[in-house]
Amino acid sequence: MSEYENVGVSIRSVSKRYGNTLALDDITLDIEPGEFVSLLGPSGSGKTTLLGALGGFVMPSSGSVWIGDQDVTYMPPHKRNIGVVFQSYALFPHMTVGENVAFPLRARRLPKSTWPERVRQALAMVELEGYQDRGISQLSGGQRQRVALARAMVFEPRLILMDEPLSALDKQLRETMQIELRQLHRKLGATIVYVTHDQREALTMSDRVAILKDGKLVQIGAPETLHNDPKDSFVASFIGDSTLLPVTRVDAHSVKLGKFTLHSARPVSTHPELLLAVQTEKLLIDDERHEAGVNRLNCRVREVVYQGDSLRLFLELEDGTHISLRQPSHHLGQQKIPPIGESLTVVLHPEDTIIVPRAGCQYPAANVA
Amino acid sequence: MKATAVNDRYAPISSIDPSSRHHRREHALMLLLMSPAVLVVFLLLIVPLTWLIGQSFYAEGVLSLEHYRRIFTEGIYWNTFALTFRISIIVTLLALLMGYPIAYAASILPQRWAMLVLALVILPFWTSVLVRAYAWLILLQRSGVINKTLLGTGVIDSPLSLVHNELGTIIATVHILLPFMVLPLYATMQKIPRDLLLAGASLGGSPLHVFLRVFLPLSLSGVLAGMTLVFVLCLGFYITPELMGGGRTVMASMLVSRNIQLYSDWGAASAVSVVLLICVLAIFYVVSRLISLEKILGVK
Repeated sequence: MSEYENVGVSIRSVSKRYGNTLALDDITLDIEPGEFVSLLGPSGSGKTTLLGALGGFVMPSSGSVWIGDQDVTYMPPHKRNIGVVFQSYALFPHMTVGENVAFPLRARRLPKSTWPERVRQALAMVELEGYQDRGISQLSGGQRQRVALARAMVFEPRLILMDEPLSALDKQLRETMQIELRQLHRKLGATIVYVTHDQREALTMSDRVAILKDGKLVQIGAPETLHNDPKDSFVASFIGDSTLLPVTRVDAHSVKLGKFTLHSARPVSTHPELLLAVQTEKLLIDDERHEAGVNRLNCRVREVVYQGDSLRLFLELEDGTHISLRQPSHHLGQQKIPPIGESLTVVLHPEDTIIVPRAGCQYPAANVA
Repeated sequence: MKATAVNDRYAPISSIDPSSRHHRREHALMLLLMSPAVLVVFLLLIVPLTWLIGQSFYAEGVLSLEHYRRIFTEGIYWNTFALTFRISIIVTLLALLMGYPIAYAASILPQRWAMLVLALVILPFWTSVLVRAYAWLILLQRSGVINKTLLGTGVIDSPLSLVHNELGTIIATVHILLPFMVLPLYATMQKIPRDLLLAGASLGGSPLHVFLRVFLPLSLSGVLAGMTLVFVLCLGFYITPELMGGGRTVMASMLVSRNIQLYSDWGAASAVSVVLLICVLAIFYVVSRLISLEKILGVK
C-alpha cells in the first residue's frame, strides 16, 4: 500500500461549454505529486465539472488534461487508473463490503488469490477490519464513506478524486473524518484532488486550495496565503468570516476608512475600487496595552450575541458602517465588553489590515454583514 | 404503546373511559366510510368468483369432481395446458429479449428522447387488441406484405406460413404484451443511480464489465416483474390466439369459450378457469417470495 507511484496533474487551459454557458473558462492548474489540493467554490462555480474532466466523466471543449506525463484528455474513465470517491459514495448495493472493495481488482483481472489480502489491507487502512461480509445497508454513513474510500484506493491509483465526500455526514463526524483523511493522505502519499464548498474543510485539509468562481480559477495558494493575502474581494469574502468595507487609497501603505486612516503591512493596490476585509477574529478590543503602530477605530456597541464558544459584538462606526468582532467567551474577555450603546475602541494590526480590489461586478461585495 | 402504558398509570381513571369510547366511535366511522368500497369488491369480485368456483363442482345438476377428473385425465386438456405454458414461456422470453434493450435505451437516453421511445412503446397499447391482431393478419398472411416482399426480392420461392399457426400467435402476442415488459423494466432501470455506473467506470470497469456486474444485477427485479406480468397475462390470452392461431392453436382460454359456445357446459368452462386461476395465483405466490407484489404491479 505504501509503494505509491506519485504523479502530478496538469490542467492546461481547459474550457467546457454547455450550450451557451461556460462551465469551465480556460483553467490552468498544476498539482504536484503527493499534493492535497482542494477545489473550493460556491455551487455552479465549475468545481465538480473540473473534477469530472480529471475523472474522465466530462470531455473538455478545449485544452488538455495530463496525469504524470500522459495526455488523458480523451481517455475513457476506466483506463485512467484514478480512484474516485463520490458524494453519494456510490457503493454497489447488491454487493457486500468485501465485494465492493474487490470490484476494482476484479475489473483489472488481477489473480483472485490476491484479492482477500488486498481487501483486508484496504479495509484496515480505513479501520473497518472484518467488515468484508457486511451488507451496505447495514453500515452507518461514516462507515459507507470509509468503504468508498477503501474501494477507491485498493488498486493503488495514481490519483484520488473526492467529490464532497463528507457533505452527507453530521458536523461532528465530518470533523473527525477530515482529520482522518488528512492522516490517510500522509500515510498513503497519494495525490488527492478534493472538491468542497466548505471553506473551513478546504483550509483544514489541503496543502493548497484553488478557489473557483463562474468557471474561472480565481486564486490558488496555501490556506495561510488565501487567508492573509486574498487576491480580491471574492476570495476575501469566501475565506473566513469577514466584512468588506469600501476604502480609498492614501499611499502605498495606507487607506482611508471614513475619517480613520489605516496602515497596512502589505502594499496597497492601485485598483480604483478598494475594500477593507475585516475578519471578525482579527479585531481586538483596545485595552491600551497594544503597541503604538496599530490601527484604532472608535465605534459604538449595537448588539452582543452569546454564541457559546465566543461572543459576537455588532459594532457601528461613527459614519454608520457596521462591523463585527468575535471575542472568546472566557470571563476575562467578557469583562472588557461595555454595555450596549456605549462606545468602544477596537484595534486592527497592520499585518491583519487586508485591502483587496473589488472582484468582477457579478459578486455583491456587501453580501457579508 | 409502552409510553402510553406508563402514562396511563398517572392519568386519572376517568380520562381512560371517554378516550376508548372515542376510539370505538372512530373505528365505527372508518368502517362506515369503507363500506361502499367493501361492497363493490364483494359484489363484483367475491360473489362471481365464489359462484364460478361453485359451478365448477357441479356436473349435470349434482355435486361432483367430474370436470376436474376430465381436465387431469383427458389428453386434449393436458395438451392445451402444455401448449398454453409453452407459448407463454416463448412469448415471455421474446418480450424480454426485445424489451430489455428498449428499456435500457430509454433509461440512458436524455429525458426527451426517453419519452419518445416510451411513447412509441405505449402508443399501440391504446389501440384496440382486435385492430392490432387484424393488422398482423394483413401483414403476415400468405399474400401479405411480408410474403410479397420476400417473394419479390427472391429470398424465398414459396410463401411462408407466418399466420394461422403457433408462430402467428406468438408474433402478435409478443407485440401486444411488450409494453408490460418495457414499463416495469424502465421503472427499475431508471432508479439505478448514475453515480454507480460512473463509479464502476472510474474503478476500472469496462462498459461491458460495468453493465454485467452493476447494471444487470440491479435491473433483475424489473426483469422478474416484467416476466411475471407478461407470463400471467399470456396464460389467459384469448382474442389474439383465436384470430392468429387459425383454430389450430388452442390455448386454455379458448377451452373456456368452446365449452360454453359449443357445448353450453358452464361447469367444465368454470373448472378450466379455476385451474388457470390457481396457476396464476401460484406463480404470483412464488414470485412474491422473491420481490414485493407492489413492484410487479408497478404500484411502488
